[in-house]
Parts: sequence; C-alpha cells; structure tokens
Amino acid sequence: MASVEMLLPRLRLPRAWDFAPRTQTRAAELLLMPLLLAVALVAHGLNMFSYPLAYGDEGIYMAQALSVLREARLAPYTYWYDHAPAGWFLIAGWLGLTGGPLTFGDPIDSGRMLMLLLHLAMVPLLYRMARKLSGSIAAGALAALLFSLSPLAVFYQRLVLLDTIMLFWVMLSIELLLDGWGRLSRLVLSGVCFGIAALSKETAVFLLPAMLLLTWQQRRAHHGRFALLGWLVPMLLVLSLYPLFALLKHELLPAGQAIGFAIFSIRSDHGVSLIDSLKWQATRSGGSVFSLDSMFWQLVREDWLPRDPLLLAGGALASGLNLLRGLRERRALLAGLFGLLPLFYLARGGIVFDFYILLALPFLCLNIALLAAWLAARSPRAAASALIPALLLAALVSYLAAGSLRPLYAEQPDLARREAVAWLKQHAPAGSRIVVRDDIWPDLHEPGLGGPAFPHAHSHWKVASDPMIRDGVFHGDWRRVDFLVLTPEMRRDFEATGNTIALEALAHARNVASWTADGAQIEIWQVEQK
Amino acid sequence: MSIWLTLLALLSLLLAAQSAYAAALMLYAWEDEARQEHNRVPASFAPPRHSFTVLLPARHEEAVIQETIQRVVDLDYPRELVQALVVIEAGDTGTIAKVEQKLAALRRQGIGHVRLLTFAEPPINKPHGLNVGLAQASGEVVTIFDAEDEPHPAILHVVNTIMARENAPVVQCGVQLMNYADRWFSALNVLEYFFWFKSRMHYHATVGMVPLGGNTVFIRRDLLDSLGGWDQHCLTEDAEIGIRLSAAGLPIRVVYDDAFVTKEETPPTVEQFVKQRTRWNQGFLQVLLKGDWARLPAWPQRLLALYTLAFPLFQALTMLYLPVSIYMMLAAKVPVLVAMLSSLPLYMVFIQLGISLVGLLEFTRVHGLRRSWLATPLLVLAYLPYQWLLSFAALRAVWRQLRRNNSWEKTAHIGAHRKARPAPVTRDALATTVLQIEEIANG
Repeated sequence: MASVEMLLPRLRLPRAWDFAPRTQTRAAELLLMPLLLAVALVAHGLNMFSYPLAYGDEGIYMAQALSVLREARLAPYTYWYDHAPAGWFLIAGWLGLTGGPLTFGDPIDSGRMLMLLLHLAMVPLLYRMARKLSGSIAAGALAALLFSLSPLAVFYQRLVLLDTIMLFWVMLSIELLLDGWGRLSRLVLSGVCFGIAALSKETAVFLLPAMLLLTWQQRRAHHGRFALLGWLVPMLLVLSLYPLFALLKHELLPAGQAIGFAIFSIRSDHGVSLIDSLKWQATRSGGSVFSLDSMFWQLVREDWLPRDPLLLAGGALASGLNLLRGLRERRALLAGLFGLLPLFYLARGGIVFDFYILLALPFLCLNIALLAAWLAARSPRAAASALIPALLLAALVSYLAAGSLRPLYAEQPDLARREAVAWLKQHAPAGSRIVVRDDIWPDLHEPGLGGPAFPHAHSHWKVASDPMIRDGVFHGDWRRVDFLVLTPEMRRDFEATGNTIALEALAHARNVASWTADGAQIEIWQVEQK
Repeated sequence: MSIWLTLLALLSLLLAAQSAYAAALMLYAWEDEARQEHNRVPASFAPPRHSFTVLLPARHEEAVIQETIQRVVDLDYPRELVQALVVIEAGDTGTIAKVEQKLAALRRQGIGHVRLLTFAEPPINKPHGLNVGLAQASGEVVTIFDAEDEPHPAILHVVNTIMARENAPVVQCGVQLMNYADRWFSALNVLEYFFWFKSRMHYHATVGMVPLGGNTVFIRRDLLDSLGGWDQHCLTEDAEIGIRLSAAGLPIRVVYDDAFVTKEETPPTVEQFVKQRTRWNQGFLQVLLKGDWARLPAWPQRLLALYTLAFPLFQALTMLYLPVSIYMMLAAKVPVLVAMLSSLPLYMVFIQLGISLVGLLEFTRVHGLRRSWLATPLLVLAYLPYQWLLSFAALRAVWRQLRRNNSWEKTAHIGAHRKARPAPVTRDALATTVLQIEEIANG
C-alpha cells in the first residue's frame, strides 16, 4: 500500500472555503463572483428562447416531465428505458415550483429557464474546481468565462437536455469531494450527487475513473478505508434504484428470457426491458474512430470545430498536456483525466449526437485554464499577469472575427415553430389527429397558447413504431391523420422508420401553411383526399 | 387496501430511517478528523493528583482472578494513590481462596493496597458487589474492571490527566473485544464494540446521554455517593447509572484510543452469547421502564435515550421485516413505489454489512493483527445469521420481561423464592446466571 501512495501522493488541496491564504484576495473574489455570474446571465440568457431552434429531444423531456407532474407516469408513451428518469424528475419539480409549463412562455421556454439556472449554478462550481486545482484566481475566472462565453458552450447549454442536468450534478459531486478537509457526510453526499447524475444521463459513468481517483487521493488520508466506500456505496445505492424499478415492474430482463422465467417468473408486460435498452444503447455504432467518416469526426469537422475551434482543439490539447504534467503534479493529472475521458467517450466509436459534446465542455475549459495558470507561473513577471487576460481577449476576438457569436444573439429560428403552433391552435379542431415532431408535442398537448389542447397529436416516431399509437390510435390507416407538421428532415425520417402512415398521409395532403425564420422551416399539411 | 399500503410504506420508511441513523452513528467517529483527534489519549500526562479506587467484582473466577489482581497491581501509577477492592459473595469460597492466596503473596512483597471484601446478603450480583465496594472506597475516583479485563497499564495516568485538565467528573475509556477470529460470530461481536466505543459513544457524549460501559469507567466517588450507588435490581447497572448521571446534567467524557483500550473476549459459545445479549436487552428494557430517561434535561437527550434503549427492538423488527420486504419486491402485486420503499430496509442492511466489512479492515489494522483471507467472506456469511441471533435475543428479552412480571404478580412466594436464590449477573458468570434466572422464572 505504501508504494501505491508514493506513486499517488495526496493532492494537498486548500481547505474548504479557503479561496486564498490572504484576506484581500478573498474580498476580491467576492467581487469577482457576481461579475462572472452577470456575464453568464447575459451570455446565456440573451435571446435564449429564440435560438437555437428547438430540438426534438427538448420536447420529449418536457413532455415526460409533464407526465411525471400531472399523471405520476414516467412518460406519455410506454416508457422503454431509453434514459433514466432523474433528469425529467428535476424538470417536473421545476415546473411544479414555477406554477406550470406556461410561466415563461411555452413548455420548452420553461425548460430553457431551468437550463439557465443550472448554468448559473455551474459557473461558481467550475470556478472553484479550477481555483482549487490550480491555486489561481485568474485560472478560475478563465475557466468560468470560457464556459459562459464559448459559442459552442452557449449553443448546447441553452437546449433542454439531460446532459446539462447531469453535468450540474457531476459538478456538485466534484465540489463536495474537493472540500479538502472534509467530513464523511460530504463524501456520502458527493456519492449521492454522482448517482443522481448517472440517473439523469448514463454517460456520467464515463467520468468514474477520475471521480474514483479524486475520492481515493483526496479523502483516504482523512477517512481511511471509509473514503472510497463512503462515496461508492451511496452512489451505487442511488444508481441501483433504476434496475430495482425495472425489476419491480417486471421489465428488467428481456421478455421471455429463460433465466427470468426460471427465477422470478419475471416477464415484461409491454415487451420493453431495461437490459434490452441498455444493450441497444451500448451497441449503437457511430463508426470507428479510425475512420474519418465516423459520426465523431463528422461532428468535429462540421459542427464542434466551426462553433469554437479554440475550446475544442485547445481544450483537447491542454487536457493531453495536463495529463503529461500529471506525472509530476497530481492535480494536473486529475484535470487531464476529466478532460480526456469525455473525449474518449465521444470518440470510442459508438453513436454520437451533436449535443454529446456537453459532457466535455466544463472540463475542456478547466484544462485550458489550468494549463494557462501553469504557463503564467513560469513566465516572466510582466507576462505572467497579462497571460490569462490576453488569452481571454484572444478568444473573444476570434469568436467575433469568426462570426460565431452573432447568431446566438441575433437569429430567431424558433419563431417558425411558435407560429406553427399558433396556427394549429387557431385553425385545427381540438380532436384532430396530428403527426408532429417532438419539439411541438408539449405545446399542442397543453391547453392555452391561444387555443385548445390536442390530445391526439402524436410524435411521428411513435406513429412509426409504437403499436399503441400506430395500431391503437391510427389503426394503421393514413386516413385517420388530419394534419402533419413537417420540418425538412422529417420526410427522410419517415422513410428511414418505414412510417407508411405518415408517408401515405403526406401523399394525400395539401400544404396549408409554412414559415421560415433564420434558416428554420416548418410546414403544416392537411390531409384531404380521404 | 390503500390504508395497508400506506402503513407498509410508512413502516418501511421508518425502519430504513432508523437503519440509516444507526449507520450514521457507526461512522460518527470518521465524520470529523479534528474531533477524532480530540477524543484520543492526550499526548502528555499530567502529574498524578487524583486517587483511585479500583473495584474488581468477581464470581466463580478461580481461573483468572489472580492474574487480574496482578494486572491491577502492575498499573503504572503511584500505589499510594490506588486502592483496589476485590468484591466477592461470601459463598464463592473457591474464588475467595484464590484471592487470599494472591493477597498473601503480595503482602510478602510489601504490597498492601489490595483488599478482599465479601458480602452475604442478597441480591448476589455485580451492582450489589459494586455498592459493597463503594461503601469501603477511599479514592476520589472509582473505577471498575471485570475479572477477565486487560486494562492498559497507563490508563490511570490517562484518566488523571483528563480529569485534571478538563475537570471532567466522569470518564469512559474504550473497551474492545479482541478475539475476532475464534468463532463464526466473534468478528461481528468484536465490531459491535469497535463501533460502539470508538464511534457511537462519542455521539452520546455530545448529545449528553451516555449509557456507560460496564468497566473502564471512571466516576468521582462523591457523585456515586450522592446518587446512592448502583441500582442493584437492574441487569445493566452500567447503562442505568450512565443515564442517571446524564439526567443530573453531568458531562461524560469519552476517550477512545486504539492503543489504550481495555481488552476483553467474546462469549465462548452461541448459547452464552445469546444469554449475555438477552440480559443486556432486558436490562435496557428495565431502564426504559424505570423511566429515569424521562428526567433528562432536553428532548434530544430523551429521544436518543428512548431510541437507544429500544434499539434492540428496532433491530429485531428490521430483521423480521426482511422476508416481507423480499416478498413485496418479487411476488406481491403492490404499486411499484410501495415495493421500492419496502426494499429500502433491505438496502440499509447491505450498507451496514459494508460498513462492518470496512470496520473489520480498520480494526485489524489499528491493532496490528494479521487478517486471514477467510475473515472477509466469513463475515459476509455470518452477517445475517448474526442479525437474527440479535433479533432472537431481543425478542427473548421482551418475552422474559413480560413473563417475569406476570409471575411476580401472580404468586408472591415465587418472589420470595427468587430472593433466596437471586440472579447473579457478573458478566463472566453469565451462562450460569441466566440459567438460574430461567429456573427461577419457570418456578
């Protein structure tokens, strides 16, 4: 054991709440924090309801949160363990607290309001993490500012996504662990937070190696052998509630599996199962990392790098360098791990969506800040104090020069979606059967917003594949469709999912209204020749 | 149906909450590093100032009593400040002979601060012996060692220092069972002591409600006198006096240092273990019924007392509930939320098992014991049977308490019979003790 400890000495973090040894810097920090929060508020909040155009996933999570809030169900459709539900529990709590989904506009606006709050909560958490790992106030500020100003970070953090909720719990978990002096109860709470993070979005588990290293290094000296277990056990306990739920619902094991029959006579009633879903999620392939056509490299080329080359490439480079520095400096090792693990997850060859980059963002900011602080400490005195402000300035200038900030604050593609909703609320009868994309589902099912609720508005994915909707509601017959709300990529999705109801309905429908706004395009088609 | 479900859910929550609380108490010592440091033995000793009376109550201890006396003589403290009183019931001639033989040998070496006291009047039990000793005690501070105890040689220095520096009227030092590998239940028994003295006792001290241990407890003599000594009718006189001291508002200082614990052994057989535990549980019930805890100054203390004294029952309930919990999870058609809640007590059992496993590693490490690789799997295997053993002892205690009350109300002559053959309760002589009590109760 002794030899291992020599390999990995303690991190020697400053004591909890000890921002700095001298009181005047502490006062300076007290001034700094409101400033960082103000920047975050403006950068994230300005125009956040109108840009970006709502994602389908945002609608799904809002709909599921409303299901939890109103019907004590996990989802409006059959819940099939696509994701663990803690994320939309939080959204449901938020909707309950703020008096329903229409308080800030439409349901997705309410969700985006929550995302803003989560971002504001993460700013001090990231600041403190960078501050503690680098010992530098400037590094803390740099990490927080990058996190709030990077166009890449702003774009994806505005969306109502489980990833952001998960990140908040991860950052909180880290904060509790980094409380250098610490109590065992903090450790337990940290474990609980990480468990909630993983139940919000499973991808949190890819950060586990770094979390375990942090727990082991930072706390073992204080709590002996209770350190690792004090973190792991509460974490696993929280995590296990998910399979327990599936077990109790008789939906843990795939339907008809022999073991399930033999031991528990467990069989799924709906044909869904946690194990099936996990297997499906884990095996969705996105192409090998060695192939430049893989989803990962495509996204790097076409989305992430164009939005912010500095954060992505710089952050990846800084993470790598910090990992190397980590051979001698354990805090850098830890930061490097936190930076590289999400990149490993993205590049591993599984399926990747554009917003998966969220998992990496705070840690890329962290690594850049830490490396900058390290360089500053090794520069001549005059350069040292100018390095970090100069870096920040360079970042801002590059964002402005590339024009990547402008759409965040000037474009309003989401107006098209709102107008489509308003049109339906005004013109369609409440009993209409409507095939929609998920993003307007909650708007249509909610009474208000200028018209009635449409209980028969259904997600086109469910029309394609959920027997209860395809056969139960539509009887497999396109004539039962009254309206289709169409965005450009949906025809392709109809074909990809073999959605004959939607395709046939569309073939017999007339375009009755369409909107375009800043590149977004939405059409409403009414089915006529029944 | 829904009322039953609600009750079931509430019961599950209650049991899970109590298990979580119990787990938190087990880990209390590890919560705060600074506090743990404070509870250790001081780094330097103050000059000897307080005088001590060491009480050695014994019954049928022919095999070990001479060795125990020698250990008390060997305590590293000026002999003129120590008085040792061996207290034995007059009928126990075997032990008395051994003690007299030892005292004669000591006198030949010029050592005269150990005396033998005997008593003949009932009840013949440990608290009575302690009271007999107290009447003859001359030290400022009275302490107790049991006949099989191995106190640390410097323990009087430790207590003298704390009493001198902190003006503490009552000090409880650590007691630790050591032979964790002897029987299948030994490790878990050892760990109960480990968590109780190293951790939970400190929480009790902080709240101000301490059920004291049976030995290595140091109390100022004037306090004992004013309280009228120990309760001779209580099966756990140690916890009882702790609660009366707490009720009087006296702070109780708990000191635990792995290197300074008084070492003891686990009971040798399951039967004796169950009997010992039955006695403790029944003693706790007696203290509960006696009601002194209601005189504790504040509600947190009263609630902690209530919880501690009734704890064996909670534990028993949790164990009885486990099969219900598993049935709910797998077979019963109840709402998923209710089923999830009913599985929480099961979760807590696993958590306590985990804590025990780590506790075993810590225990063997701090005492420098070599741990066999079998110890860990054995602990896992033994865990549930041990819990059921504890539950059995708890229920047995309740049953006996009820039955005794009944027989006492029905027939007065059986009470007289019991007075003629009262229950001796020296911890070591427990096997015979409980058997005798049962004979009496069965009439």
